[in-house]
Amino acid sequence: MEANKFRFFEGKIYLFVVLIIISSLGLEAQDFIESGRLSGNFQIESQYYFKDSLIGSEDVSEKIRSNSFLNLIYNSSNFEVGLRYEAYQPPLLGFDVEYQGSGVPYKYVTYRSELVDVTAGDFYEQFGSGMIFRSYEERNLGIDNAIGGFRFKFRPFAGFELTGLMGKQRSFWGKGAGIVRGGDLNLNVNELAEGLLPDEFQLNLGGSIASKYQADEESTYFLPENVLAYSFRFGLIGPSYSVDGEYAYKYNDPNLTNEFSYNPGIGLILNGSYFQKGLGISLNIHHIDNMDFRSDRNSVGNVLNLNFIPPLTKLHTYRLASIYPYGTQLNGEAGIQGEITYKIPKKTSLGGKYGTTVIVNYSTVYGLDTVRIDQFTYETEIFKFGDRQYFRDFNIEVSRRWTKKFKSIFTYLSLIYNKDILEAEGSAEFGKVHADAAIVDMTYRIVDDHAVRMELQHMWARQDSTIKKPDNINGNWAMFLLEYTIAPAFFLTVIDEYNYGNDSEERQVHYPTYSFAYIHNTTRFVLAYGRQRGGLLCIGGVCREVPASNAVTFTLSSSF
Amino acid sequence: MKRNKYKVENQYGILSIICFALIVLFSCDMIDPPYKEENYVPIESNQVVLIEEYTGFTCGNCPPAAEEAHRLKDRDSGNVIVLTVHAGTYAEPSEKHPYDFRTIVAAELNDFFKINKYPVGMVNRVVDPESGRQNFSRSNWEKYVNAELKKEARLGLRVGTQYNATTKRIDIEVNVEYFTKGTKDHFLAVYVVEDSIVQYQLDYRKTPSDIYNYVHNYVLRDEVNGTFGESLSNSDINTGERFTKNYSYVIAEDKDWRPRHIWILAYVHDKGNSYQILQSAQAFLYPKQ
Repeated sequence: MEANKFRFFEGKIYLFVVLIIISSLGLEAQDFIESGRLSGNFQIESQYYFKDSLIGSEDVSEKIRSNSFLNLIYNSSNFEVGLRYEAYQPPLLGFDVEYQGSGVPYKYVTYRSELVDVTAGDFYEQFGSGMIFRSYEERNLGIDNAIGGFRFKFRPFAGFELTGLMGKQRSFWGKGAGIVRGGDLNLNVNELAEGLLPDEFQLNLGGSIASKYQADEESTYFLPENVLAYSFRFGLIGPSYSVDGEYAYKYNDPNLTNEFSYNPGIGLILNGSYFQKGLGISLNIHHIDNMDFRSDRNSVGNVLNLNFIPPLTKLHTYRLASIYPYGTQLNGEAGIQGEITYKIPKKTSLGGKYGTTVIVNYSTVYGLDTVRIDQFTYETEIFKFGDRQYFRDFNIEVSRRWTKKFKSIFTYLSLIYNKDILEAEGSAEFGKVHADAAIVDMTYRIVDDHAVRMELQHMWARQDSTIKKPDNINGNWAMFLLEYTIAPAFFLTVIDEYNYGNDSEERQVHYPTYSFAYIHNTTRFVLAYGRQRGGLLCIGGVCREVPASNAVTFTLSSSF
Repeated sequence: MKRNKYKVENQYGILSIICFALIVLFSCDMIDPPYKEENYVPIESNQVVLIEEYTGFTCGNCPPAAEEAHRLKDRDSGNVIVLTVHAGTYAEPSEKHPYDFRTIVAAELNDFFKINKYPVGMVNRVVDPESGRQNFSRSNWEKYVNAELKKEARLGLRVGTQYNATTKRIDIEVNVEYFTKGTKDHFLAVYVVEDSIVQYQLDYRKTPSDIYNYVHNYVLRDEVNGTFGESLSNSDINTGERFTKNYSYVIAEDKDWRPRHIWILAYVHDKGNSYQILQSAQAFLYPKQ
């Protein structure tokens, strides 16, 4: 209660300071208010829970929980002022209870000109691919590590942008223990040196540094209070190919997630692609060693991460295909991914009347081959794959329009998911999961604004070891989805996921979901009832554990 | 918008390079071996610090936290007490591992302090002023233990026990003396705790990870006067004021507890200030050998 009062008070002080700054820059507050434009968006998501011991959903004493936010952005002249009010009363199941409460955790004022941008307050930022610094928000995962502090962007001439920032990261309703400093230089060579490269080539170069300060307040280790990371990157786009890469180095950063290893961190990402009409080929490799970088060396989970390294595997969106998702193992992995996209020309015997697109994708990720020197250090080499496979995915997707009204997507995938690594810190608990899935996604347009879509999915899954502790994930799954759309406003969806192959007979249960959505312009209203299976929810390769639930969900969102 | 490109280039280009150089030069500490500090000087203190560790026997990441709590207890022998609270998902027994460490008091503490990650610990239930957090991962504990040990104790606390092996009755006397002023929000809580319970524990660091003879220490068994205890006074407390509280607790017949490993924990906490613990004390039923 007190904390909320303080947050509200803090918000008022902030607005007052903003107005003083604007006035001192010679812009009348009255002009600022009258000449501006207010925009924003909001979302209210509430769930009413039912106890469901069959799927292991917990009894929720509040019955109703809710996550809501409102973003307000006010633009006037060169200024932008924004804030976000958030309320978690209490947070939906699966979100960290530390979020409970309400207030204004995100507020900022930005001045923008051709030469310089200055932001005071909270902001998100990313340097390069994010290997040494990415501050971002992923609402569905409960991640928000905005920096609260000061940032400038400086563009003295075309093709040159320098960014500098300093601040502390958001940690739920407070700030993390560490101070973050960073700088990034981005060079667009085409703009910097006109005529140096042929018109069909585009070259970008960049370099970043990020560092954190956190006091050493314990007596076990000699800890570095300042930890620095730097990276260099390039990106070249040609007429039929592109190559880009980034190399990152992090100085000794003993922390809880690397078990206080004093090794440096090294990251290398290389991507190449070749494309021409109807054909695309891409190859990606990466080596990640000790690159878990956080502003607080004692934090674990998705809290106070300073960097983000996307997984080198395809991000599947179909429900059964995402039961076993992969997230980059920041403490060490090396992997390779290749993908070929080919469009079989239309009006051929294989391509059919409208053409057919085939995507074949393969990725494999291994642990690094390391030799331990002592308790604190080890040796490894770049791209020296170890024996332990973390993940493998072979998948093929065939999309085809059969008639003007009917199209389909067929997907087959075969996964190896090292459950020991991904869910048990590498301990020999489960072994690997071998999963194969076949998915058919069909859409039929009945009349102009009426369409029906159906998904049929099946997954065969087996685990190396016996199931020691019963869970609601293991074994074979079947899934059915039927969606009726009356464009552009109404969506009716029925889904049933069935874990018929669960090792435990009593856990062979259905997970039905019924939902209705209404969309009008930018406003979306959804009412749904269903069982949500527990497990890992991953977005962009970042995962959190979601408990099973049986709930009615109400969502209202809009932007203005 | 036109501007004088070249002047701007020169001025700001140099400024940019200086900024970069400054950040690079002053933002990295390189540590050479040895990495481990060896010469710890104990902090002299009349304050006893309580570490409440939230754990479960199927939590494979929990044993390192138990070791850290134990290390801190050993480091400042006599000034640090550890209490292990088994609660949450990882404490749920299964067919294969039926032993149940859970208690009503542990569940109430777990729910009240909104613990949903394991292992975490509270150190005198202090609240970090910046993050607002009250429970922390194991590598944070030492920082808060050190800070608490440096504080001057606001009160003294002593526990005495008498155990009747025939009736299994424990008589407990707690003496409190205030060195500074207190309030009516100061509560005294008394718990029964047991050491050296040999049972199953999952430990991800070990191969195999199933440890069937793991020694569980500092296990919270029950409360004596309620989960949060009872108020010491109905009005504000003056400096020098003393209280003596007497309790009795009978170990139920169906309990497999071993009196030689049982001790009584007493602590005074401030319900008006996030339940932060002001002082703690312990006493075994039998003198430690």
